[in-house]
Amino acid sequence: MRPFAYQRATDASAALAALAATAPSNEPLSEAAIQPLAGGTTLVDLMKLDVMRPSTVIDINPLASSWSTINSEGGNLRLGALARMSDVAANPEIQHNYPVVADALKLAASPQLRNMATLGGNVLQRSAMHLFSRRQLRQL
Amino acid sequence: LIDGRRVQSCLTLALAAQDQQISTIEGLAKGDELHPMQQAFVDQDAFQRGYCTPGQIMSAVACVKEGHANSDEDIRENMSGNICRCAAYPNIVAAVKQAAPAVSSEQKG
Repeated sequence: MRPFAYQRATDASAALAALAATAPSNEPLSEAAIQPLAGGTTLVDLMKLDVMRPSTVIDINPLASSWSTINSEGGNLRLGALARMSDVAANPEIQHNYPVVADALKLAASPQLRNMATLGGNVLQRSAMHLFSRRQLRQL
Repeated sequence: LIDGRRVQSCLTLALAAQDQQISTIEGLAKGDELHPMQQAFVDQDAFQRGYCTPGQIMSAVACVKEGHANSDEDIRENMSGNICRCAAYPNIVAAVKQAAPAVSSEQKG
């Protein structure tokens, strides 16, 4: 893995500003020099494979207390981007009122990965694109 | 295990785990006395090569503490993240079953 700087986010808007500052305008966000680290199940993997090469990683897990809430007040289900797959699947309210969400989460990956992976990262991950994880192929 | 949750060490940055409680196989036994899950793996011959065994045992401890060791099927489903190339799976299930009562009565964490 290439050397990189590690920072811990303490403030969501400061982290967003830092991420936005290096976001490339004509390339995917995955090419940005600064990448957010949540569960790490995709980012760390792709960094080890030398597919993603951030110079700085901002660990956004310290923001979890305000960004991992599960709220279904008023009939609308709101899931925090930093909520872990396992925590959402085990949430009694989700199991009772949204069993298909709990069941779907339990069918993904393994217990270890579900304990790490966040819903936000899950939505944003690009591993479904097989060529993406093969840097050489992308450069052909 | 980080703060009692099973995670994959190969996808975890050590820096990101700062100030959290990390448990590994080395911390499981009390001196010469094996942890009930370790003893169960010995009793049930739940390994051959042993490469996967530390991960299997740590995962098994968490699996029981999560309340996911109530049946063979339950154990198989919740231990599915731990691959055993020697396919010692039936013995691993037997070991988890054997140790489950002792492990679940332990203090959490």
